[in-house]
Amino acid sequence: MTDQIKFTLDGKTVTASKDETIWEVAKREGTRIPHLCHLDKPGYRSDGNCRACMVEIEGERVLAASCVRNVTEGLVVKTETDRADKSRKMVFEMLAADMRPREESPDDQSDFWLWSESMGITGSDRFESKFDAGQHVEFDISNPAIAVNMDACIACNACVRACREVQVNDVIGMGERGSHSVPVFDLADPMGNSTCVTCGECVQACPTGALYEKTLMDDSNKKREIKEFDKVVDSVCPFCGVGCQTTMAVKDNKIVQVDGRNGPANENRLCVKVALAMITP
Amino acid sequence: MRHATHPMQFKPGTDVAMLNALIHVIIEENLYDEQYIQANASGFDALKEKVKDFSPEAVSEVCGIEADVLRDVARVYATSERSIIFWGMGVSQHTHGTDNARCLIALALITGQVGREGTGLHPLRGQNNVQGASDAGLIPMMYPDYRLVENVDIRGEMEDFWGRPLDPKRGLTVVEIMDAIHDDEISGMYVMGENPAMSDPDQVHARGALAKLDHLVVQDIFLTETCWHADVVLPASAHAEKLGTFTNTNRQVQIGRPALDPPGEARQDWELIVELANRVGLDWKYDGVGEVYTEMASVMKSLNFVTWERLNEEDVLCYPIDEPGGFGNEVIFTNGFPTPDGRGKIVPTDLLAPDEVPDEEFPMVLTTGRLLEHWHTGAMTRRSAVLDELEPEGIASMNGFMIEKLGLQAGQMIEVATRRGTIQAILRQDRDVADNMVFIPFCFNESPANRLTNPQLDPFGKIPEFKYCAAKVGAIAQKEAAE
Repeated sequence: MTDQIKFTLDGKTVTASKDETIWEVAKREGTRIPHLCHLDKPGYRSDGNCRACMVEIEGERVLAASCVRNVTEGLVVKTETDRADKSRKMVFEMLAADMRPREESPDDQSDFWLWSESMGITGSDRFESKFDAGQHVEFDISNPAIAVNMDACIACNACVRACREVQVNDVIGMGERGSHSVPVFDLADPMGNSTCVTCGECVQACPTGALYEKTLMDDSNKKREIKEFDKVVDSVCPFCGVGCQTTMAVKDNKIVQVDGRNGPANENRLCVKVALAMITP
Repeated sequence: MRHATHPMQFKPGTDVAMLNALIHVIIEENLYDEQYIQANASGFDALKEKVKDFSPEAVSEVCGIEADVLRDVARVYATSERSIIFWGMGVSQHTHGTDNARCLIALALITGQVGREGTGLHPLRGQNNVQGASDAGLIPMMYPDYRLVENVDIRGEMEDFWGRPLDPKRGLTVVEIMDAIHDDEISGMYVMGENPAMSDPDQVHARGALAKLDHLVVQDIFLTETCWHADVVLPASAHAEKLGTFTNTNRQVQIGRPALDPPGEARQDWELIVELANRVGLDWKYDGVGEVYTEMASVMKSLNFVTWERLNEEDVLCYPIDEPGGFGNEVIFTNGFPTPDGRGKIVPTDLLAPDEVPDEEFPMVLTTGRLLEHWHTGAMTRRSAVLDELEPEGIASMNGFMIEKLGLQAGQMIEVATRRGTIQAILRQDRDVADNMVFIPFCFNESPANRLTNPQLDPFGKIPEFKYCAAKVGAIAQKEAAE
C-alpha cells in the first residue's frame, strides 16, 4: 500500500494512511485530543475553526489544528507539550469568558463544559469584554422544539455543516463578520419562521447547547433542567421505511430525548418526527 | 429537483410514455448491455418491438419533457458506470403502477445496471416494517417468503408445519375487502395498527363498509378514525413500549426495544393475538417475541442465519446471509435472479391513461401523499404537540401561477371536489406542485384527501390510484348567516 506512511506521535512510531488527520490517528492510538468544532461523526468535514485541538509539530513555528492536518511521512507530533496544552486551555478559557457560567448555561453537560472540566476550567472571572456582542438575536424560542441561546455560541460552524452538508437543508449559514460572526437561519429570520424542517441535526452537532432541545430545559428555555436519565434505550424509529436507529433517553417513564445512532440507514441522522416529536410533553 | 442535473417534471400519469422513450433511446443508440441481456434477461426482443413507437420526439408532447432531455437522461443512465433508480409511491399508486415498475425493471435489465454496488432498483417504502410484514406473509395471497397460498405443495408444507388445514383460497386486498363488505361477502373484521377509515380511497364508500360490518375489532394505540366504527377496541402497545424487529426498505432487520411501560391496560400486540387465538381454542403458547420470531424465521429461507440471538447482540442484520455468523449480502441479484430460469423477465408495456382524466367539470388533477411532519394518516404524529404546532391543519397546495389563475389567495379556505366528494382545506402556495395540479396530504381528518380519491385499482398490483384523479378547486361557497 503506497499511501501508508510512518510518523511519530508522542514519541511512538505510528503507521497511518495519508488521508488521515493527526486527530484521527491519535484517537486510534488512544490519545484524546480536545475538540469542539470537529465532530467525530459520519458526514462531518473537519473545519479547523475552534483551535481546541492544537498540537505541536517538531520544526514548525506555530501549532497545528490536529483535526484538519493530514499526517505525512516523518512528521513528529507532540500532543502533550506544555505549549500545546496551554494553547488549548486558553481557547477554552476565552470561550468561557464569553458565556454564562456553567450552572446557568443551556447545557451544563455539553462537550464544551465536559472538556473544560477536564482542564480545570470552571468559567471565567475576567473583566467583562469591552467588545459589543453585535446585532444578532441572542435568544430565540420561535421553533416549537429547539431553543436558541446564542450567548453560548462559539461560532464553530458545526451547525452550518450539520444543516448544509450533513442533512443538505441549507437553512443555517454564518452571518455578520469577524468577531460578530454568528449562525443565522435563512436571512437571519427567527428559527420558527425560517425554512428549518426541525430535523434536530444542529442540536446533535452543537458542542455548547446554544441549540438545544426544549424538552430538557426549564420553562425559561435557557437552562438544562433534566440532568440525568433513568435509562437510555437503543431502538429504531417507528415511522417510514428508512429504518433510522435511535437512542431514547427516559426519565420518569417519559421519553425526554431522542438522538440518532450510527445505523446503516441513517448514520446518526433523523427527521423531526422522531428526533423531536416523540418526546412526551 | 433542487439538486438534479436533469430535472424532469413530467405530466402526471405519463410515466410509461416517458420511461419507454428512455428505453427507446437506449435501444436505438445501441447503449444497452448485450452481454448482460444474453446472460440474465428474457423478453428483450418483444421490448425492442414495443418501444419502436416511443421515440422521444413522439412522446415529448405527451409527457411534457423535451426530446433532447429524454435522450440525454437515457444516455447518462445507460452509460454511467453505476446508475441506480430510486422511487416512491408516485410510481406505484396508479392504475398503471405495475407497468411503471416494469419499465424501470426493463431499464435496469437492458443496461445491466443491477446486481452491482451502486446500481439496482430501490423503492423507498413508507412504513418501518412494510418490508418485514410482506416478507412474513402479511399479504392476502402469500405465506411467509412470498410463497403462494394457492400452490398445493406449498400449502401442504405449511399445513404440516402448523399441524392444521389451511384455507386454499387467496384473501382479498384492502380495497377489495371494502367492496366485499358492501356485497355482503364479509361481515366481520379484525384490524391491527392500520387506519383504513383514513387511508383507503373513496372514504365515504370505505367508511360505509366499516359501518356496515356486523362486528369490527380494532387493535391500536389511539382511538383512530377506524376505531369510531369498532365494536371492540383492543389497547395495543406503542413502538416505544414493545420489543421486536423491523425490516427496513434496505432489507436490514433491526431490533426495536421498549423504553416505556405501557399505560393502563395496554398489552403487547402479540399477547393480544395469542389471547384471542386461545379463546377460539387454538392452544398457542409462546414465551415471548423471541420465540415467535424464531418460529417465523424457521419457515423463511430469507432469514436463514438471521437469528434472534444475533439480532439482540448486533442490533441490525441485512439478509440474505449465506452462513452461520456471516455478513449480510447488501447487494443481491449479483448472479442472476430467483426465477425458474434464473433470468430477469422484461415485460413490455402499453400506454394506459389514468382511470379518471380531467374534463370540463373536473378540470384539474388531484394527487395525494404525505407531509414531512405527519406520518401516514396522522394517527400518531397528529397527537404530538411539536408536530401539531408545525403542521396544525388541513392544507391543499398549488403553485402560485395556478392560484392566481383561479383567482384565489394563499391562506384562504378552499373547496376541492371530485366525483366522490368535497372537502375544505387551507390553500397553500407551493412551487413544487405542477401546473393544473392540486396536492393534498391524506393525514388530516378535517380535510380528508381520501374522501376524494379514486378507488380504481391497478389490475395486477391491486394498488389504488391515489396519485391521480380529476378534481375541481374553488373558493369556498359562502353561506349566508342565519338571521
